[in-house]
Amino acid sequence: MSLLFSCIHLFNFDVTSTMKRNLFGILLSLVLIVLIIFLGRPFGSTPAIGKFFSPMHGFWKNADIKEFNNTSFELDCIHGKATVIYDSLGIPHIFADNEADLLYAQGYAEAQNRLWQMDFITRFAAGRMCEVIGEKALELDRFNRRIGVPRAAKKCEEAMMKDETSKMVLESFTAGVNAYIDRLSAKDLPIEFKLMGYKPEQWSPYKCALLMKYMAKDLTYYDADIERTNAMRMFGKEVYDKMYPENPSPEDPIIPVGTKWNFKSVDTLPPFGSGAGGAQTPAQPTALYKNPFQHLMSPTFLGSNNWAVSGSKTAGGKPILCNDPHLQMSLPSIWIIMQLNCPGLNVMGATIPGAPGIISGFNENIAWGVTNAERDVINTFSVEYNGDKTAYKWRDGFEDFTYDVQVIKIKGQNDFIDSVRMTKVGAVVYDENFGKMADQKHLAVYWRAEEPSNDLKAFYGLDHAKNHEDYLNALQYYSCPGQNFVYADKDNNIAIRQQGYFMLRTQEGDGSFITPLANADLYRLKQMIPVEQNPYVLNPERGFVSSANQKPVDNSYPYLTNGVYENLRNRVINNVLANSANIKARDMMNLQGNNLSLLAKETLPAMLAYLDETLYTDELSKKMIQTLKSWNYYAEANKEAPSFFYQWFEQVANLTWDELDSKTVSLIRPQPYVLSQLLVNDPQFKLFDRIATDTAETAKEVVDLAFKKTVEYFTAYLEEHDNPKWKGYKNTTVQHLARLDAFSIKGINIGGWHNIVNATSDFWGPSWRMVVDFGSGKPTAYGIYPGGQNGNPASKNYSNMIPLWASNNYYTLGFYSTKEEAMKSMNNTQ
Amino acid sequence: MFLIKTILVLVLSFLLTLFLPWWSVALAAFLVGLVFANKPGNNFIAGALGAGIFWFGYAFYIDIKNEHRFSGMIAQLFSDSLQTNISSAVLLMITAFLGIILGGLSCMAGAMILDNGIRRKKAFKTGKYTLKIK
Repeated sequence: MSLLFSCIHLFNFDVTSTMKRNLFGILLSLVLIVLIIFLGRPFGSTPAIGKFFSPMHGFWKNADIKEFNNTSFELDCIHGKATVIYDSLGIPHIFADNEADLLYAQGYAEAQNRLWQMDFITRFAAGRMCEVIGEKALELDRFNRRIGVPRAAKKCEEAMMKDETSKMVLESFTAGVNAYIDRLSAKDLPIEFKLMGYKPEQWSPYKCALLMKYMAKDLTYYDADIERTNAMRMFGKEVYDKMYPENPSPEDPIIPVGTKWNFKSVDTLPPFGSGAGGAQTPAQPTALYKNPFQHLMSPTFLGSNNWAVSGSKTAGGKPILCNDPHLQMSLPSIWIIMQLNCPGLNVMGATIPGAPGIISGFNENIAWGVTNAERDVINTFSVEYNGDKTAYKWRDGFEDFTYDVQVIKIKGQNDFIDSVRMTKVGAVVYDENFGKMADQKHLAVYWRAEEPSNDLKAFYGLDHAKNHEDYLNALQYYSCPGQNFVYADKDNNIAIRQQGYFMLRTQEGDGSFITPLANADLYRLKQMIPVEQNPYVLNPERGFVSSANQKPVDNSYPYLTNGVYENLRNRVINNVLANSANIKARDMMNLQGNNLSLLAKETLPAMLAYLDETLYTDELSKKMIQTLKSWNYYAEANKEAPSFFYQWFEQVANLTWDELDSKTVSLIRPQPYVLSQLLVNDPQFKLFDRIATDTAETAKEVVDLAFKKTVEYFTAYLEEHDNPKWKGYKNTTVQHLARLDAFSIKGINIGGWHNIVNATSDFWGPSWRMVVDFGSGKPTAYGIYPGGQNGNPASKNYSNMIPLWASNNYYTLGFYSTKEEAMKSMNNTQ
Repeated sequence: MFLIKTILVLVLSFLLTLFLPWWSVALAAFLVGLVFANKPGNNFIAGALGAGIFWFGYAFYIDIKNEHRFSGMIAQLFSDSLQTNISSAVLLMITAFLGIILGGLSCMAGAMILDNGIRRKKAFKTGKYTLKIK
């Protein structure tokens, strides 16, 4: 500024000093150039100011959008043209003459709506966040690389590219994404690129594989081998079995109890300890472990629902199929809805941006949906070194390590090089360099997702499936993460199969615990249960199939199926379905939005009975007790009782599991249904005793103290909030993928919680809801998700579906046989 | 003349912006300054006005069309990271300010570089201009 004043002063200075003035002009120009360079550079996380505010280059440009709704365009593809018709919701309906062009246009349309998300998630999976957000992502990047997400993706890519069809799918899709990227000028980049100052990379089949392995990590890395090993050692088998029961009761598995298995177990191997193949009894390690990266694992409350009811139970006399996968909800949304149509294929549903084809959807003949199998597909082994740590104990000798050298590029800094020791089973993930583990506590991990597989082929097959045989044929290619694939068709068949390549486990030491690497039985580890022997049922007598992340089978199944299972949602769903007849699509929507808290229904009466009410005479306590007593156990948005109950239950959990709060040993809390059953049926359970006191507490004392703490909690809460209503208390939020509050939606008016069919919690929930009704002989589909089709926060379609989703309503999805039909429908709604 | 300069800066920055990066607004004002080289102060105001109107006007037009939806989000983004309260209006003001500074200084710099002193000599002769020497 002082510069400015001095030059104004200069105007009147000297008439003849033209030269001086010219020189000053040059000086000013130089200053300007410096200013421009300065304004064109990002500083830390602040974007380049000049560029960012330029109305034709920066953020204003992103607000200057033409919405896709009710528009269409023709796209030059590989062989010919494809037509993309966006309907009134911004759902692309894509029509082409052949599959290559169809997938090319799908890639193009996905990129049009979600390019940043596709780029971001695949960078995340590849352990490359440091490149864009700097050193703070180093631990995260190292974790994803060490556990092997990029390694698994590389093998997956190779396996997919060996298959002619998969290769065509991936290459066409990739070409479509890249066609969009190539046409995109810098000023039209999605806002997140501008904010963080980087550019989209070219797409590739490898990136599709990264996306699939990202999902595999998300859906299997709740593994708790470390925590369970510690619990077993600290509490002994009797208490351990109560905390993590292998057979939840009451029993309500995916495959109805009593279903006969018409096959013989292939497990003819001699049991551990017989010495064959060098395998030894898996000795229990003597150490207690600390997992420094528990916060990078997936939570154990991941879940999803799916079910199908047969025509015998529906008003239309044909099946209805439903699916709502629960994931951490995000903006841009996890899912995008699309219709893909070419000769021989007409499929619609939800897919994940970056994935070709449809993942949960329907075609003219069948419908299918997915929930997570929750099986344990990770084994953890303790490593024993030779003297200079270049080899590990294996059987009676030592094997040399190989090394996976990872070069991590960091924005604004030197590269970080992480050299990871590799064994026959997998990487030594936790060691002195990662987690600062003492030598005798280093752990190697085997992860099923690292085996080569072509999971894409399964979805390709489902997209094309015409009948039940096609469905089964498609599934055999699907390996990891294990999913429960529900099925229904227009010919009145319903089915469900838990599909994945699961490790063959029949013995103790089944993968739930850390075992010595030296004794690992490689043959056994890599052998899988034959896919045709996976849990499966077709047209069961009860007239419906369902799954909600519970244990897949009863004890008659000849293999171990250990995992982290839910045992509440499944029982609500099965109870409703068993007692329903003459079902209409709307009834199924109501079930997806069902807010019954079975946890409260089964636990609250016992909790209230333990409570000595005479001790609580203050207004708030009396109000809380009264509210809870008159509650019907439905966790609805405007009720106060769910806030009181869930806070109270949480306090009970805090007091009960105080033994698990160690800072030096990693432990994991049992599922809520476990605590519920202990409270009701086993009030003398050892862990109800609090370590902080000398007296011996039981459920009663714990419940009482927890109530006092709950009253204290709400006394403080109500000083800052108007009321304790459930919706405000739980504050359902759909977060932006990069955790930017400004692009997130908070305080959504919706009920539900973990372990409720409507599993909408604070950040997690039904990320896609679909109901497909074959009542008219053709599929009539309803769908919705907590977000919108367009990933641009400035778009009307960014989060437009959220209010309707929150009120348990759906959009009827337009599913067109021909381009002309779609075009006509678009013109009618304009 | 002043009005012509202002309009020229406005139109040229618009045209250049279509093909060039964000700093094209400075380039446009600078080029106009070179052509009308004799009145640096006058040029500053013309450049500031031309570029300012363009940046502010275009941003404002987009903002209205988008119903302030997105500018509100970006304002919140700045508010969150700077721990202050920034509104859409502040974003528009920053946009206008950047346009004014870039346009004004560039137009003036252009004027000064090619200034041959003719106008002031003329003014001096006709007595319209008085010489002050410190």
